[in-house]
Amino acid sequence: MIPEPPFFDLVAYTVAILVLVVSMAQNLLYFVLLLIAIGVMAGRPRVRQSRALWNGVVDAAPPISIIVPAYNEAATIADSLRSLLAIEYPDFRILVVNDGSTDQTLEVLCEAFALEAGAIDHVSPLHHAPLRGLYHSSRHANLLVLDKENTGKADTLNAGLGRVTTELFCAVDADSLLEADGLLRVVQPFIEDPERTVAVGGTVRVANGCGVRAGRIRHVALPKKLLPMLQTVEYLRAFMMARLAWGRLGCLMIVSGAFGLFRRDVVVELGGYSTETVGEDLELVIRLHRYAREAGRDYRIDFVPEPVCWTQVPDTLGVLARQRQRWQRGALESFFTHRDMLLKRRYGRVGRLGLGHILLLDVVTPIIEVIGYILLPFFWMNGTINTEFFLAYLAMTFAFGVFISVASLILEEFERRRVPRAVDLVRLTIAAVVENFGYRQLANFWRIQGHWHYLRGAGHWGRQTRTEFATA
Amino acid sequence: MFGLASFDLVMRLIWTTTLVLVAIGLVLMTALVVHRLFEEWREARYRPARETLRKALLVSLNRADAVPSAPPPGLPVAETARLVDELAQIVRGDARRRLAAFAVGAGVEQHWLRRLRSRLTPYRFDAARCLALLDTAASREALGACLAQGSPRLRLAAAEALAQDPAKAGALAASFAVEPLARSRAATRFWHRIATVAPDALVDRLGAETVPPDLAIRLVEALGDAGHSAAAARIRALVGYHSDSLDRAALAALDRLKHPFVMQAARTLATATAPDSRRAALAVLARRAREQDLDVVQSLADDPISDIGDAARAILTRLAAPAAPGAEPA
Repeated sequence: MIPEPPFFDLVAYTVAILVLVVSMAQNLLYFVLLLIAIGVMAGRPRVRQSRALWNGVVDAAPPISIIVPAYNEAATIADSLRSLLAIEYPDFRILVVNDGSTDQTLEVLCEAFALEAGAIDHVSPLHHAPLRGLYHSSRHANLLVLDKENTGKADTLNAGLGRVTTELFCAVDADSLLEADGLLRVVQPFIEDPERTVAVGGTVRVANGCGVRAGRIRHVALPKKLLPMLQTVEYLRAFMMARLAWGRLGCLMIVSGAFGLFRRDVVVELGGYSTETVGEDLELVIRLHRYAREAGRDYRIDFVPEPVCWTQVPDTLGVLARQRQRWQRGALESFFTHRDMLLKRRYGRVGRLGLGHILLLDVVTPIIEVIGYILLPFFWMNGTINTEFFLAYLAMTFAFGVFISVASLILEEFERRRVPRAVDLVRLTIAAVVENFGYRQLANFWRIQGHWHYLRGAGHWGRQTRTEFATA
Repeated sequence: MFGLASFDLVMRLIWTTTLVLVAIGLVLMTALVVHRLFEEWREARYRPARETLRKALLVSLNRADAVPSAPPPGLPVAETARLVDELAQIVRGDARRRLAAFAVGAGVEQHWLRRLRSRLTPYRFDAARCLALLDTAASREALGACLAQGSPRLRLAAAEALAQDPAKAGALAASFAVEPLARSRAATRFWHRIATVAPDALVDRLGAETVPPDLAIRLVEALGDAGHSAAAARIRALVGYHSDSLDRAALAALDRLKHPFVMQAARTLATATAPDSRRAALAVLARRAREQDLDVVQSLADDPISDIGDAARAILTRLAAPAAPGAEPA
């Protein structure tokens, strides 16, 4: 007969099993996503070269407006805009919205692109902060700059959206560089399936370390610093595996704010971006799902891995911590705003899988993981849990992450091959291992802080610092 | 733990399985690194010769001169094949034919035929796609044999290559099955090609009672995009009997064909139960409605879905407005 454990042991067993079960559920989900991503990649046609792509879509490509919200982006805005002006697309307009920057963003724009003030010539269908000015470029007929008071990214995007006249708009962060054929590739689902497609996301990759000239990535390289290197692995895992798989399942819940293409009429009908959250990109996509499901519309929100947008990631712990706290807060705000969709039959897979995975990965897992880091070693040392259990916990919490990260790199190497050299593959593999010992735990700690900020209702973006792109 | 041996066994299974997965991942990654090192070595060795050949080929393809009869000495045929594949994606018409002739002369055809017999499906798939460039008896025969193979991707690639020939396209239109890739881009491209080369055969296929709705959608889209007006009656006959998606595809195809049947189809779908079908009907009515269609638009003005009702009322307002003075047809 098994003797009854004392109360402390019972609590410890319960906590230990909860930690292990949540870790297993998380890893099982990642494993399934990995298998789906492999299946999607295997079934995709060969990636077409830019020229062939141009020939194939030039007559069918709809006009696109690119909205670039800019707040204190003086360091990178000129390069970003040159990159956008150089993209290969038959008909596009660029709309920069200066969100009341306190640095020289507007002055840099005026100087670099010969801006001239004009009269505000539209009535916006969306609510947003008053506009202070409108500027045309005397050099580029397709470039327009709006200036407004500082009210945050979502409101800035709404201000831009209010001036957009094209059927499609693309939201691009001002600290990002869009590849020349990025729009041609991301617009494909809208050409193939114009009735159903409402939003499409592309891949975002880390630009730190890459050489930039005239607004274009001329030399792809990995970051030299450890922190951006670890984020490179994270981005690869998120885009090569998770988003691809969620897109296939029909419950892609986020189109990155750094690069996404949307149907203007639908987003305007929904009232634009929400100013109630710092995760406006996630919230908008959840709202698109909700709207389409409630209206009984046949729709498609897709992810295309080929179009690439390069972005500068934080290279200091302080900035990264603020970014991760903000992302976590945005995820919680979006989840709890739409929590009524969870597991409801009316919302189909979006309610079950889409909201379900946000609950598991963004709401529950950070708390449980951090509890595990603190308590499980203690339980093992005092003999409450045995070595087999502790090893299983370590495998789930540390080693499985190595497998998933390395598998994402393998997927990338098989299909996209954007990592330039063999030696870079080795460096990335080392980063994929190292990431799970220290960085992941730190990221979870920041996410817990994000929980705290959410509970306190702290509503600011945090101070952002931008660094210039490296010159090629 | 819990004094249960089976529980400990499960725990052991968890950590050993995880470690095995990590080991497999790292071994595979090492293999990929070694492969990449080999490629870098090969690239460094053959790049100058390949670039020389690329320049010579581009010059001759642009000027309609004779293409070089042989690649530079020392350049492996796989490298030449890679270059030909690359150029085939950007050249058209006569230049493409001359490139194909060069490929046959340079032994690239034999290289791709060998690849087509490989055990690795991706190799076979790539070879089938590349052989589409050449229109030789040997390549047609090899691709024909691929139509009976197990891999749907390979069969589709072979069929797409063979569809360039009108005689083969007719036969493919009559019986070729692309499931489970029916919804893929490659399948869409294939049916579009057939619709251009052998549209009548495709119309016959559409009339067969056994055609599944998913396939019917692709066929209808392909015929609509190809502008084959003779298909309009058959497409019209599909509206209202099968699936909502097929209804909408048929309506869109008739709309693209600018055929008078489109208004009949729109009237049918205006009473459909699926809101998206009613939206599609309304979109057509918004562009084509005349006074005699007011009753249909009027019925949609009371639609329980707000955006449909709003749009219908907007159309009614527009139709009721008097024509602008001087606005006469060109």
